[in-house]
Amino acid sequence: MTTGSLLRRRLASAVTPLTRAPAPPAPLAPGTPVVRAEGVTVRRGGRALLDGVDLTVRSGELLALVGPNGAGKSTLLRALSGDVSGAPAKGERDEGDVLLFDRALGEWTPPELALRRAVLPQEAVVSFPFSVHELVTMGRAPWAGLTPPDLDATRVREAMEQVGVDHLADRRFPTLSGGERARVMLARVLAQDTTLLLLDEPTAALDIRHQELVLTIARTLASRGGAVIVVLHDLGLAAAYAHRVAVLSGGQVAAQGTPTDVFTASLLSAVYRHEVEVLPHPRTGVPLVIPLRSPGCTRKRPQE
Amino acid sequence: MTALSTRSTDPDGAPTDRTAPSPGVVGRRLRAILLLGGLSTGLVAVSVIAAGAGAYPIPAAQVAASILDSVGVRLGPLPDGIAETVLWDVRLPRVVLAVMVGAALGTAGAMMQGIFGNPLAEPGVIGVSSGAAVGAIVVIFTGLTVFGHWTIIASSFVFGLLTTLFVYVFARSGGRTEVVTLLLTGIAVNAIAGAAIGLMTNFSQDAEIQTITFWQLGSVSTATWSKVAAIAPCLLLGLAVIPFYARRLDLLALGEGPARHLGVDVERMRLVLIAAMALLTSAAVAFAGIVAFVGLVVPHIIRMITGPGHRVLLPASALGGGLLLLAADLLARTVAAPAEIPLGVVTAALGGPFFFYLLHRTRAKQGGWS
Repeated sequence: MTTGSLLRRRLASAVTPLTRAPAPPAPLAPGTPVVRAEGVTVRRGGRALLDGVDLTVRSGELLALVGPNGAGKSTLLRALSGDVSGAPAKGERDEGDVLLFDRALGEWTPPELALRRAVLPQEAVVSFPFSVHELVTMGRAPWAGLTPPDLDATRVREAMEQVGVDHLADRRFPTLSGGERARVMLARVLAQDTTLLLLDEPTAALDIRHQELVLTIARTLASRGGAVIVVLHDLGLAAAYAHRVAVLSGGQVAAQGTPTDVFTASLLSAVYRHEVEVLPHPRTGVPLVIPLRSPGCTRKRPQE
Repeated sequence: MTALSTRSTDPDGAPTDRTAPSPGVVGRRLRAILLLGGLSTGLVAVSVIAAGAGAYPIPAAQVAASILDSVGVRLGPLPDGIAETVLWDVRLPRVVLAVMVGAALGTAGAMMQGIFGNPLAEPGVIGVSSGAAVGAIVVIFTGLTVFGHWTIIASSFVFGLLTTLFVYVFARSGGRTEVVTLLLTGIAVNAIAGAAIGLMTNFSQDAEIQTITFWQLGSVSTATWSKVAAIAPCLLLGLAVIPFYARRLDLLALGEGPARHLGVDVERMRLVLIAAMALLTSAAVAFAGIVAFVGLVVPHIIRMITGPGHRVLLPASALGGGLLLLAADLLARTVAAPAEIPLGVVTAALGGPFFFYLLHRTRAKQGGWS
């Protein structure tokens, strides 16, 4: 992008909210590329956090990003949302392009982007004790002036019901448990009602029921023409719900494809540096990933 | 997901009240209206009382009559000639200045806490007031009068803005400020400003020293209508950003990244609000000196009553700040009459213990400093 067009963009974005509301998104045909990352490279402190990552996510698709700690999952999600923190050090350079809806990430204004893409960060932090209802309502902020207020109220209520926090509506955020906080933040992101969802470990603080619930919601959104990228640690969840998985290792995509194709014992054992077994579920055929454990840890203690 | 499919559908096609706001929302709205109404009423009432109180007492009814008379409404007996002079030349400028300074400090405090994402940020605590005071004292020390009353405002605005920017850049990490970093930055900034002020005091003549001492202790005793006229546009300009940025400040509580993902141009908001904050603080400091803790105490009490939403918090902090400063000034000039206690001493005596309480509460709640 030239400096001239960047400047023009800046000026336009400075005046836009005063002159006209941002254009709401047009519906997408299933299979349209929503996110395209090409050769994304992020270098910080002499290390490549991401190294030439290519990734395409189409509408109708739930993509799971998996990989060991430090593989670059969250960095990739941040690169896709334009949030990579810090600047490259001297002599380092970030490379690659991220296109959302066929337009470079930097060319969108924040209000336009907020109508199309929602991001759930890993930590749920709020500086002031807002109530749950107020927080979820914040998800409707991008639509202010574009949708009637009662539709906003309906979307907020639906989002809270979906993740099961409607009974907490009047509670203050600091009084919630970790899992409740995570679900409130998810409700806020769902209320934003966007085509593209980027979720960074949405299930980390949740119990089994809510883990399944969250991924069911994500899968449903994808099947209705949305696109969801979700960072997961639980390979079982990824295998069961994702249309496609991308395995990251050392800042690179080690493999991507359907869970059945990608989740092989050899690949996962190499990437996680721990021997695993992969078995098809006896009833559904979904791959089950089981880490090998030394016999002394798992066998029943012998009866005396 | 059944909830997904309930969008605007209803089994019987009958209107439902499911979109009606929850009782909590209604309660909060009612409380907000009551609070804003109560503060406005209180402000008017205390203004009338304060304008009547002093060495030459004027009954409240006469004060009200005289004020209404000036806008063409006849109501009851007017005060006599001397009382009229005292009222219009001495008391009312002071009352109006106190309210304006309080409103500026209350709003600046609430804005600062919002933009720093930190409930302990306050112009006095983080050193912005001291920075602005250095600007004001430089003008007194050098005797500059390029723009009349505006010289002091301009100079303290430049210093206040630079201090705010410095603290903001220095105390932030990862889009938030930590309590400890912020308070330590405030100590350092206050120390540097104190050194500059001390140096200038040391080389000042007696008359200047008296004025400088006035700045350090804070007071609205030298109020005149021309000072009121100088501070008014700054206050209005600072308050004018509230309707544009109140909602966005709410979103900023989620952090910078999430606020941006909700469509907020965080960089622009930061610039506008830091400028507004610096303008409000410096306008207050230029005419009333360092009056600490108003920006801390008022927004906190309001958050306790109506919650942290900035659409209520910011206007209520303006009203509440005006009310608090007016009451503090009334106390300052009546409690030891005919002598006067510096205003800054009164607010510090009230605000200091409150600050302790906040520190204690923050520590107990979050289990430490983070």
